[in-house]
Amino acid sequence: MIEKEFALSGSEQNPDLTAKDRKAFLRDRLLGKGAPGPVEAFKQHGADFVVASDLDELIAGMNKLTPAPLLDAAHVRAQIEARDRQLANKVTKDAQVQGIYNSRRYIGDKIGRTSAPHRLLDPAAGPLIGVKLHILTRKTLGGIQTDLDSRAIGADGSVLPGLYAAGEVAGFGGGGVHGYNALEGTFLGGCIFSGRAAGRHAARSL
Amino acid sequence: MDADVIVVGAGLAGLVAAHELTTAGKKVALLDQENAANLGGQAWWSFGGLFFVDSPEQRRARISDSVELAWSDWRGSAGFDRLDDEDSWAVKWARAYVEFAAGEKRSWLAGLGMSWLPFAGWAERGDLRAGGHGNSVPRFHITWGTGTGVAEPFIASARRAASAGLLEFRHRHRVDELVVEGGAVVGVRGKLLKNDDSARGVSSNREEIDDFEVRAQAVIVTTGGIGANHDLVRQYWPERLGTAPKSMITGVPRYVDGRMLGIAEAAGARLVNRDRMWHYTEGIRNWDPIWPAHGIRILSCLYVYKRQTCGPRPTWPSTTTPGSSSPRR
Ligand SMILES: Cc1cc2nc3c(=O)[nH]c(=O)nc-3n(C[C@H](O)[C@H](O)[C@H](O)COP(=O)(O)OP(=O)(O)OC[C@H]3O[C@@H](n4cnc5c(N)ncnc54)[C@H](O)[C@@H]3O)c2cc1C
Repeated sequence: MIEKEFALSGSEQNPDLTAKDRKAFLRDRLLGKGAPGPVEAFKQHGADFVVASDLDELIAGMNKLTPAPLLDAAHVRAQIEARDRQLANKVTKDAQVQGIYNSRRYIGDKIGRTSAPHRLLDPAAGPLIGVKLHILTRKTLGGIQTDLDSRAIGADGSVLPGLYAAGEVAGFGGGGVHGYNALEGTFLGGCIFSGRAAGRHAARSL
Repeated sequence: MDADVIVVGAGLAGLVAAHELTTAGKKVALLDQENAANLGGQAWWSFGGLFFVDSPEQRRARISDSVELAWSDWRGSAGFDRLDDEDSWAVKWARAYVEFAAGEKRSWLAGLGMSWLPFAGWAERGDLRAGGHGNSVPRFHITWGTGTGVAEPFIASARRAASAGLLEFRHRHRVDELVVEGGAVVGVRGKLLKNDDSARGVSSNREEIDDFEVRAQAVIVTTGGIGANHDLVRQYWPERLGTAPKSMITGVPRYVDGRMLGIAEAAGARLVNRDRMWHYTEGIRNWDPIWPAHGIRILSCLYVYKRQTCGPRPTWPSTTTPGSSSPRR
């Protein structure tokens, strides 16, 4: 699973793609055995990672990462065993497993982003890896309200002369092009689209 | 050089605006509080994933996508509910952007030298409802070179414009005020910060060595969001997501400080939708940090909760970002 389904976002965590190294990408991600280098480095050095050969050891390790133990081994075991039982058939009532089957109907996910469905507690698939998650701050969806030429809107609702705003400070366009939720991959494009609109309008009107 | 236009912020949005202006022969002063090593801003650090609709990569994988499907997904995700007020321009932008993503976006960027991985990724797979949040189909196209591949063409364009005398880089210029005269923005004021040789992304000093004022016919503000300013994140944290977590880690460099929003507001700009943010549940601490509290976003396999709270919304990896953060306790 960690080979295919575990990924890290960002340029410095994906040296093969960042270096445009198409061969390394093919070798390591699609055909490869073992996790990509940066993922493996996290597994070894990351403060939030616990690697164990059995579930009790894993949960004991996870519980050491929090001031007070939060996980009950029996409760976690019950959830995982229930999930594993759902893999005996090609159909399932577990929606998370259904989601994996659905993903694998898309060739991109089948080759590159999912491992063949298997039991988590199958010793042949081990070791077990637990990761403690934190809320990570990233994007601001609201901001300076702008018209379609990226001209800033003033307090009274009309254009504020002389000022344009674009990119994340303008909510990627208009003061919140995403509304409440983003579809992803839309931020860079929002910077490009709103930055282009600002530059074009300013160039035209000087 | 007397600039026609001042651009504040040398991230992607500022570089694209500068590219358009200098291509049209206009003179640009490009100001940023950071040094030359940081050109490109967050985009350089990004994954370089781009939302395209009905792309050759999708078609090759027999995915049929369209403006109408994407627009339905966008509206279902956005949930615009302030249409006659804070969302009045946002919804127009959203429609224009979906059309851009289905049209000119790919060819325009390809013309600037970008290319993409053979398969689109599938992010935000949805909340189980056809009309709800999420992508009905894979649309996340990773650029070769990731974020550097997106930023590079525009950095190169700025450098070319600088050698042609059309653009002046003014690094270490921190803008503190927009100059307003007769109801119009006519320039910027701020502090020149002490030189700093730090590497890209590393926090730089804030020692002030001089004042500056620059004037031009227009000012374009492209200073990014508030992601590194946890005080602002907490201040605007929406009730619908519960209370802000006691501790958070940071997915952006220190310069994403959000200061400019207040500065623009003081000059008369209208700020909207400040309660809407996009933070990730799946953060881990970087074992080799570049900026303070540096966190990395992961894409993972299976969530285990302390209490089983799976309600009508899925709270699993790669389905819905807010869905997975709200029941987390
Ligand atoms: C790790 C990571 C991965 C990402 N992955 C993706 C992805 O795959 N797809 C996607 O679409 N988006 C992604 N994003 C989001 C995207 O990169 C950013 O939203 C986008 O680059 C923001 O660009 P910007 O130009 O608006 O602002 P920024 O890049 O934040 O640039 C703002 C600049 O303004 C300067 N500045 C700020 N205030 C002042 C001031 N007062 N005076 C002078 N200068 C000032 C700053 O120093 C900075 O250089 C990712 C972001 C990160 C961090």
